[in-house]
Amino acid sequence: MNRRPPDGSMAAPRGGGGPLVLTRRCFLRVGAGGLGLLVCAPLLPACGSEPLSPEPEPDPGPLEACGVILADPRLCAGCGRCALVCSALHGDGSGADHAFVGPDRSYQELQFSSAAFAATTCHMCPELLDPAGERIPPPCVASCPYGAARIAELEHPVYGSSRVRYIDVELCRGCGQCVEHCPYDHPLLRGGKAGKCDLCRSLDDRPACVDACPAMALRYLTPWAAALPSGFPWDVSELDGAGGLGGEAPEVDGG
Amino acid sequence: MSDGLYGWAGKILTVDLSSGEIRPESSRPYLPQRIGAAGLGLQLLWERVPAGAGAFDPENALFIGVGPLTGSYAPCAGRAVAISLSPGGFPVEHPAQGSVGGQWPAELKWAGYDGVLITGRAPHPVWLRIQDGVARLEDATSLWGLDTATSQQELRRVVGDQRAKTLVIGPAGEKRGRNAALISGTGHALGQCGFGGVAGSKNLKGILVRGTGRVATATPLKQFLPRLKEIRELLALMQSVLPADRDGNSRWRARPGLVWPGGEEPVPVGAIPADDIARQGLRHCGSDFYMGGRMLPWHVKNVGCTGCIMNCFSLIRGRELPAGVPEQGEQNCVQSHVFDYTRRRGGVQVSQASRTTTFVGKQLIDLLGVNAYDVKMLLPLLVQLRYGDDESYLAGLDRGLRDELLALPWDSLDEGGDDGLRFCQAFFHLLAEAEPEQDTLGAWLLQGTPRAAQRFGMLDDLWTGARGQYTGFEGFAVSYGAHGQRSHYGPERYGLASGLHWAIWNRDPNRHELNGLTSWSGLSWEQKQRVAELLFGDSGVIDDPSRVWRPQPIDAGRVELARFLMVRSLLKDSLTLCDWVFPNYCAPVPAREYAGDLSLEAELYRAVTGDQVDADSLDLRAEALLDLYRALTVRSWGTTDLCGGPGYVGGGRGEDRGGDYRGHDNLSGWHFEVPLREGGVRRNLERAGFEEAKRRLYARLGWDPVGGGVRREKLRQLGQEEVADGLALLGLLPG
Repeated sequence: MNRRPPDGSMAAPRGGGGPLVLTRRCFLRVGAGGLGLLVCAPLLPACGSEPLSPEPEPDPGPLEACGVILADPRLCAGCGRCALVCSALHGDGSGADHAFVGPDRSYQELQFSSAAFAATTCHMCPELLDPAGERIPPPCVASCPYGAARIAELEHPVYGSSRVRYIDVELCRGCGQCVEHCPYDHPLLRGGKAGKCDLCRSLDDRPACVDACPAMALRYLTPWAAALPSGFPWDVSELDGAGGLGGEAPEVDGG
Repeated sequence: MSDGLYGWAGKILTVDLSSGEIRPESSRPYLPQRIGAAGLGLQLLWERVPAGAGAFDPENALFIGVGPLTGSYAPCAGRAVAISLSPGGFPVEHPAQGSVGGQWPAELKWAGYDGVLITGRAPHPVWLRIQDGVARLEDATSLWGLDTATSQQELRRVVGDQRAKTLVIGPAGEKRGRNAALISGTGHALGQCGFGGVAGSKNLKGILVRGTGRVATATPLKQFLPRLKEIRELLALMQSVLPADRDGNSRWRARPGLVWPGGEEPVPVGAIPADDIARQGLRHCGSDFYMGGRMLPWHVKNVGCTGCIMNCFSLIRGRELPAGVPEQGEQNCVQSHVFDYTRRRGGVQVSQASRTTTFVGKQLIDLLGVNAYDVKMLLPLLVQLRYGDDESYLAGLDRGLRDELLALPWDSLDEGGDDGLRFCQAFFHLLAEAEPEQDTLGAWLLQGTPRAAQRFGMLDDLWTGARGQYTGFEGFAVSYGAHGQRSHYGPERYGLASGLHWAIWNRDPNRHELNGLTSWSGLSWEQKQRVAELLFGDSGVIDDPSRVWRPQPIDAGRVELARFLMVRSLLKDSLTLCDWVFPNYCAPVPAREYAGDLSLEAELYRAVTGDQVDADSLDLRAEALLDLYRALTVRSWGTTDLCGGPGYVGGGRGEDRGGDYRGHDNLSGWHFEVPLREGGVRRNLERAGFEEAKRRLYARLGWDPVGGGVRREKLRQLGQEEVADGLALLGLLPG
């Protein structure tokens, strides 16, 4: 059921200058025995490590979200507390179908065959450059005809500038383009509006699902680019009590 | 979920399988008084099942419901509870309750229902399909005979929605097994009381639910979140508040060096501090706890029901299993070690159930859809039948049954065998091939332990614990409790209050959490007594499991505790909450001297429903349910004398040992005294004291002081005089 990102390789600049190739093969959800989310090492500059210049603006280049919520299938118990809490905080009550995070949608079926079920999360896709050097926003943002799916530069009380990909419900007309174009089936259409994970920016708090998880299977990791290749999977036995509560940067080794 | 209703869905789905009529009804007339799940089920059983109905009659109803907390943000509220006449009840098919977790229950709420009431009998096999409030019956003829895993996958394939949740019977239920279960997923069982057989008798293969709704709550989560975090800090699975490296009895297994090795790569877990709620779901590890950790090498990870924070189930991936046995499954407690034995000859171990045998046994239990608790009693029963009492049971057995018994591969269990694997497979083959109502070994095993024992001429000895049990197999010991159920956390472990609960209840009362305090908490006995003092104002109400048969004072505290256990049992099963976690007797908080908070149920109930009742008032509603449960029991037994009336039915070899053991409110004989082979008896619970305690409990509950039937005055007092009228019409109201 998963739709794929656009075909073809897309080049993105890297901190040191050389091109980085991010192919669709790098963005995979894998099945049995694999990780819930795998991304090849893009080695993008760490979020905020090169402050944006003031006017006149040189193009800052493609931007990734400040961080991402990752799910570890080795730990996910399938209890869905993340979904209960997410749906209750973003809507009118708890229900797995109203959550932007939750045990894999075929969870019960997977129990028969695979231990790899885990919460599914928004990947907070990065911006990319096409071969002509044009910036390509994340699929949900790029596909929205009304500017409702957008990247927030708002200051977050916990994370600073999160650059979260979110949907402005005031602007959303429920056309479903973001749902159609998301490679991960992430946004939901409910009650004539689309919704997606906003890292709880609307709550001025850190992602509630991460706090709700009793198995440390969800973590909010920053920066985005480093979180994916090196922050996952994590060693649960090495973390202290606060370790699962999000917001800390994983160690990034190598360049 | 609408019109100002918080927590509840507001509807019940009634399904008459005889006529095929399906009708959603409002549940509001029963709310908030009946609370949910168990309360709704008892009410509907009272209203809609005629007196005199048997468990397998079309007139019997199978109610499976959820409570106001199910599917909400309340922690550990992911269970459904079934109420029906139990075919496993012995000697009388009386009302009882069973429960099941996993993901099916919350999905039912999200589909818009507080419960499903199934009556009648379909003319051919059917399954019930519920999708967002819309229900219909589908033909299940092609599914009849399929195991529970294949059936569930087939149901999901038919609806084309892998998010649908399923609850089905297997061949055991189709054969109307009195110990048959309904299974959800790969290990969640509505196991006890034989409700799988009830479904089978109705030609109902299973229920698929898919719901995209949600549970609205009176207190928004954002407002309740800080308190929810505090509540989480108080909760501990099975009240285990100290890790196992402090006390080996604790189920808090996470400790330095603990690794889950069964997945694609090992997961180091290590120690988890008490205040680290971010990892509280990793504290427990059933595979490490049971059978000395024999299953740990295959432990992939912990899994939990919807909304759980403790995750007591183990996801197991087996290796090199026999053909046809799924390699992956979930398990917990008894199902994970039903097939576990150590064979000794002359005191020397010569064989032991292997990891493979034990896991294959668990998988076959679930595929067949049979109650693991009963199998845990049936397997030893077979061993006793084969070897026990100097093989005199065997000698007295009719030839056909004896030939079947001797044809089992007993050598598989013995020295030079295959660690029980062939025996395990042969045992389940017997069940799978059994034809109902035939005089075969398999058919009798599906009748459940007491009825099988009666047929085999073993019931008296099962009851009294008399005669020399064959002790060649550790782990295979017959242990009968009462009311058709295997002994399980009763007075033999937890003393008088637990014994009273067992005697009154129509099934294994399954009070895990008080047992948690006295057995699994990891606390010292002095600390446990301090917790009891803080919670109940009396450190002496709990009994030390290591000295449990000592004479116990018949004091008001123990009687009050028995009442508390029963009331909170029905409250838990109505809200619904997990009894491995609630009530919250112990908390992993040294500053509280490890005492928990017994008002959490009421607090969560208020937050979710907005119904502003305190804990005592909510307990009174649950006590009204207890009275209703009692009235239903009186109706099934057809007597107001549940204390001294007809009760135990013998089944030995012409010997009547039942003389002292009368009435419903009783425990099997060995709880009081065990006749010894060499003459004389071993005394356990003191009979006179037990009877006196029972009378005091009747008085505390406003029940008839002699027979224990529920009285009009009490029913009126808690607002259900119509129940008294109903009993009076049947001549079953005590004078």
